[in-house]
Amino acid sequence: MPISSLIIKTQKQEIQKVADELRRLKGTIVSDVLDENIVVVTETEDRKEDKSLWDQMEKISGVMQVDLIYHNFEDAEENQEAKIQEAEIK
Amino acid sequence: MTNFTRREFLKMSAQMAALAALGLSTLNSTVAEAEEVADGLTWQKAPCRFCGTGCGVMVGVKKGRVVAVQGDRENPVNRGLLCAKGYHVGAALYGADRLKRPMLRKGGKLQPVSWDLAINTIADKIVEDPTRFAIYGSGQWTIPEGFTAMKFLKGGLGSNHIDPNARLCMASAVVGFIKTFGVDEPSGCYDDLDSCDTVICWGNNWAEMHPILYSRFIDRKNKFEKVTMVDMATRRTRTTEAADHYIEFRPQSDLAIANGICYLLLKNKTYDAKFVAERARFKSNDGKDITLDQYFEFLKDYTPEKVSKISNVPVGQIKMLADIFADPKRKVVSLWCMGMNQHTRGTWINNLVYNVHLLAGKIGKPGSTPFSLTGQPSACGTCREVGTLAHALPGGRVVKNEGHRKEAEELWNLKPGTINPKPGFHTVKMFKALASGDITGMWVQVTNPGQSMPNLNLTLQKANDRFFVVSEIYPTATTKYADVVLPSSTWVEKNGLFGNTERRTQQWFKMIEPPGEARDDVWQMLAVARKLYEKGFEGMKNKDGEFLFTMRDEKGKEIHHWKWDVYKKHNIDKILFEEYRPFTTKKHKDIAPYDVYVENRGLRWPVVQNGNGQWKETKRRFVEGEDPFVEKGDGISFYMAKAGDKKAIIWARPYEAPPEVPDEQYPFWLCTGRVLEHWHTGTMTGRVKELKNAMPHAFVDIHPADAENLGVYNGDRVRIKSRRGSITLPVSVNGRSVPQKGLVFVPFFDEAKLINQVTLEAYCPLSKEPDYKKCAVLIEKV
Repeated sequence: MPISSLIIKTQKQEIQKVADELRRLKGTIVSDVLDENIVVVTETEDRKEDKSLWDQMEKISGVMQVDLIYHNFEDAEENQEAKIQEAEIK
Repeated sequence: MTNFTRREFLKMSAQMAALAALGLSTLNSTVAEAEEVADGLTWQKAPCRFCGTGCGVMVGVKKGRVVAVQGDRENPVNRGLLCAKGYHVGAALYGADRLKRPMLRKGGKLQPVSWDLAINTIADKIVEDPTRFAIYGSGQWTIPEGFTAMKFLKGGLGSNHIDPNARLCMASAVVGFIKTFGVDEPSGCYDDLDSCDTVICWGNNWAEMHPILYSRFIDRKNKFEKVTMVDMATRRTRTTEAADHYIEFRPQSDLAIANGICYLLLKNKTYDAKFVAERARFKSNDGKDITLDQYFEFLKDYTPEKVSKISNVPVGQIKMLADIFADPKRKVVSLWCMGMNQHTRGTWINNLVYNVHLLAGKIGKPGSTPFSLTGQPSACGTCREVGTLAHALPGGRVVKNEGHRKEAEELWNLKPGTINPKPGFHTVKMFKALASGDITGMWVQVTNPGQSMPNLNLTLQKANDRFFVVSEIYPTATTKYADVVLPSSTWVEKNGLFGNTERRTQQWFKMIEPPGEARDDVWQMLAVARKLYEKGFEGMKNKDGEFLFTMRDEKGKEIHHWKWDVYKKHNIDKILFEEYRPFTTKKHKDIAPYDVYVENRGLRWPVVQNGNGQWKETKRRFVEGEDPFVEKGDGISFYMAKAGDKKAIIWARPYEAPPEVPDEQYPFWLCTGRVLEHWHTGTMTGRVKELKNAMPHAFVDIHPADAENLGVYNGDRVRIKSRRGSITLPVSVNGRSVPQKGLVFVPFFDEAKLINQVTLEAYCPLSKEPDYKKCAVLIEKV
């Protein structure tokens, strides 16, 4: 279950509208709304969902840029696999 | 505090990292950091493993595994931000098929063997034919790795057959710099993106290829700063979406457009006459000195009307470009990467963009500079500065020059006359030599020529018949040819130093153990060198008869670094870096001692000690007050000019048609390149599920009108066929990019669809860099 943070850049006059849209996305916490920046923390089931969330954020009207900041994948599925598979080359 | 769950603390850490990237911090930052320590999570700095931007990444390690990454807010390159690839850089280490054991091909199949056997096998093969053994590396070599390979081959085997994949990437930029300024690498820096008012992209899709630099500029646009972006390209991309002007030109006609700008600057007398008189001189294409008037005569073939005819760019847009450069108040950055470098006249177009900036006086001033971007994390630090090229020696030296050879022999403590004066095979020739038998063995490290070489059916045709060693982290298109596969450590599994696009050298420490039996590339080469020495191979002895790579600890005791357990206990990188440092002063590319880089987020060379003993970096080269090698009163000084007059050269380079153009049989241009989700041949990003899912397979972008004429729609399959080979791909119309009519675009990341079976191996005769951006193909619906 990855935990990530992102900064969403938008125009000042649209910031509340964008923040409201972001709050509707499952797994998203809007933690700070500051001038033209919105800090978002996400908690998702897996890294696929994590990636899908920021794709959705990019599509919200008024979002000018999504900056990726922090990504903890300690509990993601890859790290559950304690042992890396032996390589097989044919 | 104790009421918080572990996951709540992780969320707090994530939030604090974002606030810090915005320049804000709270008491909670300290709380979050303290909790991380208690949780066993530690953070250390490293530059990103992917592109040449050189972003800083804070790497979170817990129980011997990378479990988190965050943008390094202390790193001035990215100031806390990450791109999609950087965000997943940690996951790239943990693909399920990571190579963990050395393997030898027996009975047609790779089978696990001991390190001893693998190393001994390589040494025996080298002894059989040492001067026809080649090393092929890349801009992903760390600085100590490239330095080791150079000493191994040029100092040890007595040959010069070493080249990096950077030959396929930035060789044209290198030769372009040397021809114009007498020395390689950009004089400007990323700070210029913060102070310019105009960016001109010369065939450069930086929105996808260098997204952090792009966002640094676009952020200014979003804040309503008065900045302009001009996108000159052969296809519409994500960069075009944010551009103020899109200028679509016929492939190869960038040569004519640049000359057209120069023509208008001279005709309208809007060039910077004082700057040109003091800082530049003119040469004909064959290298003869010419006057400004003679140069203007040459340019008369490039009136806006004539250029428009060659390029298909409207006269008004050509004039607009000239007006941008003519405005003395305007601060202009030109950016380019593969569009200009992978070009059969790559050196010329690099020279021509410098011509434009020199005529306009837009160089060496904050916000005004021509700036060539690189694609690999240490293409600059390793390939260009260490000089891992067939003709070169470390620090800007060349093997042809007797004095340079002597200097290298002294610094490496070699017997006089050891270094071979004859340049080795450059990349395309090296692989052709592999096919012909002039090269009988090759060691490939940190690159994937089985996928990235042009015209694969020709260049890799006999690879199976030769002795092929591949050091790798995953199975690739190249390991399929290997007789020996050596599993390698990567990124934070080893110590390292990279040098990025803006001359910034960055260091990091090993943070985790490599998986299984994987070992460092430096160790692999040292172990083979030692084995050769033990077998009595003379080349692996220095002038005093000692092992060529003799290293001693601080007490003077020899380090038996060829033994892995011993190697691991020492910082061999530091020893190699300090051995390399004296090479860097010749061309004024001075670097600081290793320990200085430990303490900071990289320094831009030249780095020299000031009167207080502090090591000071250089933001902009050739600029008085910034570059310590510019003499007082010189202002802007191109002090490495070959003629010794401190002047850059404005070259009269003509337009020349590419060697293969569309015709009736093959009516389309083919352009190849990269996509946001994948890095180069996708061997690492292809192991990151999210990136793989987001972009699983290659495709062909086709202009809507061409698609209509061909009767194909999105998802239909077409055969892309050239005189060299063919592949079948799904069609994409109005997808990631929209090519101009008559041109198709195919990315090269997909190992299952090798577009390089179709491309042409023609290269720039000066830089020897192949042109992956244009050849003629036929498109057939299947």
